[in-house]
Amino acid sequence: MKKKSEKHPFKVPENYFSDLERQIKSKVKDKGQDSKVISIKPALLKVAATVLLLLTISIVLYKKTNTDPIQIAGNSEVNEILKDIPDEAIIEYLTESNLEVEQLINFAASKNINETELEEKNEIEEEILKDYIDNYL
Amino acid sequence: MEEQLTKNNLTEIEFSVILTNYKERIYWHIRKMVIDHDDSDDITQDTFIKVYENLEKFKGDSDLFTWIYRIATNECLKFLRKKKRASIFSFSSLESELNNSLTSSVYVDGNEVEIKLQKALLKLPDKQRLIFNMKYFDNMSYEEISSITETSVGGLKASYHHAVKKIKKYISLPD
Repeated sequence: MKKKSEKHPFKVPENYFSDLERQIKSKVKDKGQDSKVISIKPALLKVAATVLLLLTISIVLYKKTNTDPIQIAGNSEVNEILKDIPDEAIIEYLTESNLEVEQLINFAASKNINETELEEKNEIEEEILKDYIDNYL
Repeated sequence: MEEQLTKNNLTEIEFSVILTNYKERIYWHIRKMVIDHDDSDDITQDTFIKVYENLEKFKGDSDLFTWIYRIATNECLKFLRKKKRASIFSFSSLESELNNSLTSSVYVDGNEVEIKLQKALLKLPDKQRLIFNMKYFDNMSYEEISSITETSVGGLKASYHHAVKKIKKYISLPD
């Protein structure tokens, strides 16, 4: 056992310092080799994580746009198709569908449909509704 | 064929010289702070690995030994902070754990006065103990300690004075 100073009570095992030097050199050598082999890994992981994140965001957005009825209705291609369908059929579909009133109001607001138009629509709706009640109920 | 002296093997040669020259001083500096031999061994190894990894970044604006000493000091303080946090969950204190290492380790074999001094030192805050060790055991000047701990010379003098006062008070108490 070796004691460094008479002032403190600490000791080390026999040959400790020569073993310590050998151990540190060996660790440093291993570290150098490890870093050469795996140095590209963190960069690849970062790229893979970014691609995965972008892919996830794209899928979520795609699914959201394709399942939200309000978004579908806002689509210009859909507007073209709806032109050929009579208002009564659309109203009947909307009555039977489970769209919330709030969703319809939001959609109207997003399309800048003014109050006059809405009032006219209301009158038509009432007429159609009366007609519907008379004929089918 | 004569081996070419590249930047890489130059660092390795430098590192080998550093290790030979400073390993013992750095070990004893760490040992006096963390008490346990195995912990000191781990921290000494981590310190020199950091030295190797950052050797190219060493700008030479301070003495090489001061730079290595600063890395070792930071590693010690980091270790003690971690041990202090862990001791909260084991319902003990850092002081009692270090005291235990002092009294039960096979690598501690001092006389009564040396052990009592170490026990008194464990009652000091880590930074004060560090300053006392550097001044009393390592015979370092306040200027050297100042560049390692990045503390003003005035602050160090005050700290050392307080440490000595507390140690004298503890040592004068009966066992």
